[in-house]
Amino acid sequence: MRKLMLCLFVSISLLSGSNTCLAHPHIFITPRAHFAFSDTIFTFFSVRWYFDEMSTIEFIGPEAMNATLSLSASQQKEILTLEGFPRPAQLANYFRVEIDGSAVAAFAPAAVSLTVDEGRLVYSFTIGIYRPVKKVVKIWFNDRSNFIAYETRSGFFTTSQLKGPAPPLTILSEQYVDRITITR
Amino acid sequence: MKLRITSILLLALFIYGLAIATPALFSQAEAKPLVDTISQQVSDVFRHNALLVQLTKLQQGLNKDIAMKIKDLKQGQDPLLLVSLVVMSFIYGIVHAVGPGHGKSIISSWIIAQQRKLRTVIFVAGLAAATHALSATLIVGGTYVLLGKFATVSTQKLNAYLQIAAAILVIGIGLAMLLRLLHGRFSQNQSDPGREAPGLWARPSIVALSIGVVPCPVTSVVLIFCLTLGLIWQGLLLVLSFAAGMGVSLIAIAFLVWSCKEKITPKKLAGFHHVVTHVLPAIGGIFLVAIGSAILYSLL
Repeated sequence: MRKLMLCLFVSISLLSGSNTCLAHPHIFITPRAHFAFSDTIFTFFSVRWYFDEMSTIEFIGPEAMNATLSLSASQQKEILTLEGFPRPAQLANYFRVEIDGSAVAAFAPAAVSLTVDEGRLVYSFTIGIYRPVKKVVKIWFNDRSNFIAYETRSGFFTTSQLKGPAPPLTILSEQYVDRITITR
Repeated sequence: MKLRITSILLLALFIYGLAIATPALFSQAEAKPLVDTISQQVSDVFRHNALLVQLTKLQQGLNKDIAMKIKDLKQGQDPLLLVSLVVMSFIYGIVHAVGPGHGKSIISSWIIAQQRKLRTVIFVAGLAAATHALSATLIVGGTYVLLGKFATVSTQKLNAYLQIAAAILVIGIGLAMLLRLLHGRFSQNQSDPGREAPGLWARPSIVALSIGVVPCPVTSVVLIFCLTLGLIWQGLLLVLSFAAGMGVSLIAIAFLVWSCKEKITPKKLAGFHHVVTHVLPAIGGIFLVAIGSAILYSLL
């Protein structure tokens, strides 16, 4: 019994650790996105990540408080080099796309833009997919390091269809992850 | 005999962990994908854990509410609003420190390896939380005083160097434990390593410093938010409350580990003397070296 307890609490000690100091969320993002379809093809989705107010002030400065601003190219470039901030070339690490149960290697966006909307930093980008869909598409956002936590709320996502009615969208929780599920 | 086999297996596991964390034992091409895979698996365990998901959601709600109330505080002079903010910050600190990180594995390893009184263990946990918040406060305040703004890019570079320093400290503490153990084993005077006067590296303050030298990013953002609104002493009060909350979590976990160790290894039974004086310090030392190496590798 004692040996078991020894192994148990050493294991607990192991699990309470992390190989980085950034294993718990410090930035909270509320994503909003629009998903576009053309008949059976999932063409693209455009994303806006709304950062929490306190992180916005840290990244931008006092001028961002309750403000709506455009950021200069140099400001955007400086922010994109910050530790823990998702860089354009690494954006594919922050979301997952599954079509009919198979993971899709999404393309990196050509460009991203940063603005401030009512005191919150907004990180915008568009991802091209151009894949046929038979039944269902699932998209979710996550950060492997857990430095960023995403709050996926229904009502913040829309779909459009070039031909016919827009496919319905729901938020389903699977393995404690909120996945945006679009069915044809 | 069975305990020795179990101990050897545990040691082997830690040595394997050390080997994985040390890129010199593998080629760079092999080491990084292997560490990334393990990191992904560990991250998946954390992410797909119901408790940790709930902790994250709770932190998100607290973060939003605190930001809203701080802005309201700027508008009005309601003293109850400040009290509610202090309480919320305290709870935020408790919840934040319960999640992964904040040196719990480092403190646990040190407790396992050393024979310390409860008050020393509590002191280390409390001091770690306090320095974790204090370092962030000093950096935020210092850069604002010196540069007149919150120089985020420069601050992050400084944070990176401090994380490297912390990783080196953790490795040093682990190596010092192992060296003392080996020295005690091979010296003519077979003294109890756990009861000798602690060397510099095993001192409680050094252990606390290795955790606290890394600034707490949440403390930074809360303080910057308050300073931006001109709420200086209120910001410091919230940081103090947040640090107190973190201290409660770290002290509770340190007490739990210490209690478990005291119950599992009763000093009265001769059979456990070897475990307490040699096996556990070896486990703790190896684990500290492994985790420090892993942190250093992830930063470089």
